Amino acid sequence: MEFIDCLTLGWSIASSISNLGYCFIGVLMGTFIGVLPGIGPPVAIALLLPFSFGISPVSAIILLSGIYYGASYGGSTTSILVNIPGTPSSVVTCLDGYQMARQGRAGPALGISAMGSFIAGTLGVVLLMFLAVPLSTLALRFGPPEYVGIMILGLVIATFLARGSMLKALIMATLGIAISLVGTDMINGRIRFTFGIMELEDGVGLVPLVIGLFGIGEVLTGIEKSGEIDILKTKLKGLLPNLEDWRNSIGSILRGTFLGFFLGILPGGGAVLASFVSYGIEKKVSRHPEKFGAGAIEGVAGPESANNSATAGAYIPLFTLGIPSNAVTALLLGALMIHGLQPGPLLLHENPAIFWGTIVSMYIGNIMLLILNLPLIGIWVKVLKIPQSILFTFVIFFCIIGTYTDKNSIDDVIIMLTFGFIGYLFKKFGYEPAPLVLASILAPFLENALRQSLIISEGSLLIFFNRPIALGALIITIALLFSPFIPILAKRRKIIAKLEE
Amino acid sequence: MRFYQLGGLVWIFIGAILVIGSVKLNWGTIHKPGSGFMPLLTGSLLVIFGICLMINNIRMRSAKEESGNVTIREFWRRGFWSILISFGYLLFLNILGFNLANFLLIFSLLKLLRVPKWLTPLLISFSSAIVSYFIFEVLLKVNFPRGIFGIG
Repeated sequence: MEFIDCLTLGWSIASSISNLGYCFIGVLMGTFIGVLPGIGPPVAIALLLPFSFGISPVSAIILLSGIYYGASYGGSTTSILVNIPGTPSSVVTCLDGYQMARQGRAGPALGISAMGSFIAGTLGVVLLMFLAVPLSTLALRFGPPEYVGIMILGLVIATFLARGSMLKALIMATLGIAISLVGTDMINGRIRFTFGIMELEDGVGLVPLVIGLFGIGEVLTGIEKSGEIDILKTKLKGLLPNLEDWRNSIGSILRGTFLGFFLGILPGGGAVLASFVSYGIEKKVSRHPEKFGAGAIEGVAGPESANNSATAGAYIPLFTLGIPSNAVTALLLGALMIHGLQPGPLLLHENPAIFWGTIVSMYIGNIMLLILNLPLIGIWVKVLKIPQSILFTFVIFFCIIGTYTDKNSIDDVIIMLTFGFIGYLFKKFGYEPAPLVLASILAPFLENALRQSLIISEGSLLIFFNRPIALGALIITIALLFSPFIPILAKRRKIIAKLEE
Repeated sequence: MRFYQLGGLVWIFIGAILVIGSVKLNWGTIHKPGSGFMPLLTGSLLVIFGICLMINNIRMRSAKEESGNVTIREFWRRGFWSILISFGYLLFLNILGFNLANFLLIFSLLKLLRVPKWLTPLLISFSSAIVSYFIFEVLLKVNFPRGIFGIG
């Protein structure tokens, strides 16, 4: 299909009244979730996943994607006005955004954040559009050994980039694989590790797992520290940045866009890492690094652009390889599979409507977000005034209802609540749940590819060393695993950890 | 052995369960791996990582700090009861039906999380129960238990 034909196809799908509606609901919910501290996009997507079963696959992906990139927009509002990040990717925006607000420049901070997010979000989609097709064509040549190499590398990168101890992140990833083993073996139909519980024969569902770990786990942690949010009393005037603001920010926005996009591709990297690295770079290239932390507009523009284009980058491994790079894309992968579609290189060629419809909806969604974020900022500020006790109550309520409606199963709710408690303990003991979710999604594919590779090679492990892509992936994997002993990699990880602190 | 050092033991225990379970499942051969192949690999890795974590915790005196600020008093006060109320909701869902159970769940959680006075939580829970009825039962046609009163 020609490029223009593809775009026309995408436009015809995304511009239908129903899909425009789903896109709008998605970005609206995303902004709402982003504004509210303590609830992230994975929970919102997991909660909406059951409701997307009844609509067409492309509409479902348009809706769920809207939540994902919408949350990146909304997250900055709380960072700037309350000094509490709405999403983890907006943590760094607190540093200069809140200082700008204290100096009476909340308007330009919110304005440049929305504008930067719009530019980066749109450019990110352009990059996604141009890179996904050639990469998926390349990925068509991959066999099981290549997939084994890439999936193991993906998991190890996710643990390398995870917050806190890498050993704990590796444990989480391994535990994720262990959780995926519960249920029926896809190859020979044997039941594994169900301990006689019939409900586990289909495995541990993605919805209860994600809602429990990210939703209930987050609420239980939040309950401990809950208190009223003190919103900075400042007049929101002059939301459109002036010429000087633009002059100071445009370079940061463009750097953030490209950096964010490519970091978004990395498993476990995504929007959080992109925003931190962008902040570090902006501070380094600035002529006035001393202004950073005291209200430098570049410190808002760069990270906010980076975290938005990272959401577009995260779609690259999903659409080209069928491999998710974070918990959100893992849920999108789950949504596609529920609709009977196999994400991966073939998806773009066999179901171009899904990819191009989503791409065009992202352009439309970014325009919707700009409209939603600037004139409606006053409403989002009011959302922040919802008492946390009421917010937590409704999060728990929706977690229960959302899980129940997935399969009309009380057992799933029990599993979800159990994972909620486990997620709370993970937080307490410094374990990051993201590698667990990623691994639990990838593990069935990894197991299949590994067993297929060994069957093809008649038991020879050399198959992973004879293929250049598999070999390359394994070499990088080993280097990352031994990173604590490789000075340059150990230093990189320490820099990331320091930035995140 | 201190509390925070138990982390390694938990992983070793889970890993051991996987390894033992893998024996029953049949490992297969390297030419044709069986159902127990992946559990064996995963379990072994968990045991190894668990041992590494224990060694790490013993070596690092600051491990207690690294393992996070474990103050669970507030959890027992509210978090634990939130979980318990949620499990209670599941028990009562079949008996009371969706709407009544929703009302009670939201009301109990609001009171537990210290929403002051009685009227506000009552109004919030009542209106939420009605809204959720319209969203889930009328609009989305989700099949919820109706309970003994038949008003679910």
